[in-house]
Amino acid sequence: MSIEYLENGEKNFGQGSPENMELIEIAIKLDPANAAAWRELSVPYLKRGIPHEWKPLFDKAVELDPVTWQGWRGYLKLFFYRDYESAIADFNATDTLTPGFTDYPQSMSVDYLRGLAYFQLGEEEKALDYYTKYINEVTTKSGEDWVDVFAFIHRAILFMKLREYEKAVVDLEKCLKYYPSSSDAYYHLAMINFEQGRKQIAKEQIAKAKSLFEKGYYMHKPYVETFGQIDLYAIEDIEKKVTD
Amino acid sequence: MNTPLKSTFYCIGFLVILLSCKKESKKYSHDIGYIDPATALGDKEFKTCSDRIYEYYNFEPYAGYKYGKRALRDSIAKKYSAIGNESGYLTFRFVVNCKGSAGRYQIIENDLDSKPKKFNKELISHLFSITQQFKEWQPAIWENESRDYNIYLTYKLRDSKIIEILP
Repeated sequence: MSIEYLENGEKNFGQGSPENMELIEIAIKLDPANAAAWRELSVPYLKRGIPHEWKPLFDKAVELDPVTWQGWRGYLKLFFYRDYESAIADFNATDTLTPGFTDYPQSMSVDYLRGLAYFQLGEEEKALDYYTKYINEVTTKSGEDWVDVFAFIHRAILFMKLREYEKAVVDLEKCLKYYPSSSDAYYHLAMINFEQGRKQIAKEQIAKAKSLFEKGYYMHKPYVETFGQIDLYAIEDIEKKVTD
Repeated sequence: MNTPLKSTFYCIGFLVILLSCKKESKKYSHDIGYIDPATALGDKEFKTCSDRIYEYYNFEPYAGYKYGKRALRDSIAKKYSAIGNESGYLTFRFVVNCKGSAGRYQIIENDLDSKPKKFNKELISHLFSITQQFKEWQPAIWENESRDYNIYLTYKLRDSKIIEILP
């Protein structure tokens, strides 16, 4: 019965509308242990910038069903609140909750997510280990073509920070192998080629990056800015430099 | 169960649901995040084009600052000077109307653990002034018509240093 109310609220009314919230509240009254209902009640607060209302509701979902929601909370802390330490704590907890299994909150591996969090904290070595762990695990289990192409972009950004340009180029080209329309890959290749004095190649690459960006083929996420997200102004900056 | 009895059962069930909904309706009289014009901050003359306010993420690409996040970030960095020693999430929620103008502001103050707190008033006023200086917002188009939408800017502060601008 609780599940039916939750589904009715989710399917038939706009998220965060009074009708939607009321039906979820009934679902919780009928079954206070319905973790999915607590989580659903929290979502409009998350998306609309009201953290003190979001957190206790989502925490309740985690308390009731940590296997399902703890990694997910880490994802939200990472992307919505940029709370890196706390996100890592949630990702680490999934190792204990589901031993021998890599969790994928919001379809992203906790290892890839840990890589992003450590990169933001300036801990490049740990970030590299986690990105690589993720990429290698998927490659071994399912094949390289199953790796999230943006993991190659993020690892390339890390290599660029370490000034290991050759390794960055390998990752950017790998991204293009599986996603030939990646504006990000061309943007970063243009940056590297410009840095290394190959202006003409950089010019061609930034032109491609711009045209693909304008078609919407760039790395971005729902609701929030993603890590390493490029924009038209960043592309035009490089464009100016290569044409000077 | 025979049919009349079944109907009565459903009628009672429906009434129970209706009554419980009615009881709860006090808790949610508007959509989550609705900003009441009577208590909102900013220009009192600010008008929306309709009563239906969308969310910035209802559009593709998302509605937001006309010149992008990087321009927004650069502009804030130039204008901001630290006041006090505050940490937390300071959020300015507001409405962008169909003409791309911002108004109807609401301020939400939380610590870094997302618990309500009170920030230094001078700091709030400084960041509110910076936020209000962003005048050009993307109109959000749906079915060839420009719509009003809610959006927010959160300044994540550590020791009064802006460490992130969200979302």
